[in-house]
Amino acid sequence: MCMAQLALDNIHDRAQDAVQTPALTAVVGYDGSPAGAAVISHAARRVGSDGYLIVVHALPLGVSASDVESSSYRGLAGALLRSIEAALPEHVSYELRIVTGPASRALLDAAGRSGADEIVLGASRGRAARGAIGRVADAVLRHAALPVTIVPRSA
Amino acid sequence: MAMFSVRSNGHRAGVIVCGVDGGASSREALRTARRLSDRLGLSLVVAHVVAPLPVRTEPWTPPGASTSTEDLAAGEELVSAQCRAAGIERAERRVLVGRPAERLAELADELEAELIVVGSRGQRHQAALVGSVSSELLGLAPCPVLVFPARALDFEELMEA
Repeated sequence: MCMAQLALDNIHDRAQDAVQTPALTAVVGYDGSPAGAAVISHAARRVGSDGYLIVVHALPLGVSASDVESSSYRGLAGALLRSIEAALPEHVSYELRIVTGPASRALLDAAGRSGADEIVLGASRGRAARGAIGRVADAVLRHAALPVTIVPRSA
Repeated sequence: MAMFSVRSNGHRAGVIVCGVDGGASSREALRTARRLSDRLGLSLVVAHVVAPLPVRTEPWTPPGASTSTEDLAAGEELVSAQCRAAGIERAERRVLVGRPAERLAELADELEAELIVVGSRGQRHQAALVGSVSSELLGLAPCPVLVFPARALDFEELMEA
């Protein structure tokens, strides 16, 4: 799997202050949609103001790292960052990772490497049938070793 | 029946609904729910759903009236035992009858819950990776659902050993 990452560390790092109580970290799946913004808001509330979000945006399958460097995706990172800023309360630290490859694997990988407390993602993407949780959420739930919160589209 | 949790200042407190079934992942889910209710200042409602007895072949058996008082009492005891094990004293407790996912989603809707917390599988569904209750619930829930997976439990037990 190609895990090309555009390193976009938009971080006000406060790790030094977090000695007394360990700050919470959540890995958030973000598709850039309005429903995705609700997922980010929920995750931010969960980790609190001293928490940290690792926001993962998975490019559609078939998009390669070289495609990402080409012009068609140049505006993507900026647009994603703006929409994340709009959904977040002030003072919540985060980073955005834009990845290729299956979203479920990217989320699990990010959670495993960071020692995150939780994964937060939306219930379904695109044209999933009513009542279905979506392929990404299903795959994450099957393999996760940490709590997973699924945010329904309506919430 | 409408049920409200009222704080001392008269405003309704937000609610976390935690569904318990006696399984190991649900015990851990309840601990997670308690931590979250403390951290977020939400009140905790602990719910257990008792299945109705299977419909008999006799055509005169009234549907929906087939859960015995013993089953309900056992459900209440299960909720009390799980609350004790999780160190919870002041949570509201509910024992409901029906399909677990449907009842939990309805309860969350009625209480305008902010979050539902469940384990990933009940003790009767060991074969399934993601329990049928949690996957059905995810399709019905009016609010975010936190699923505590059985794999996380394995990991924590490993770390404690």
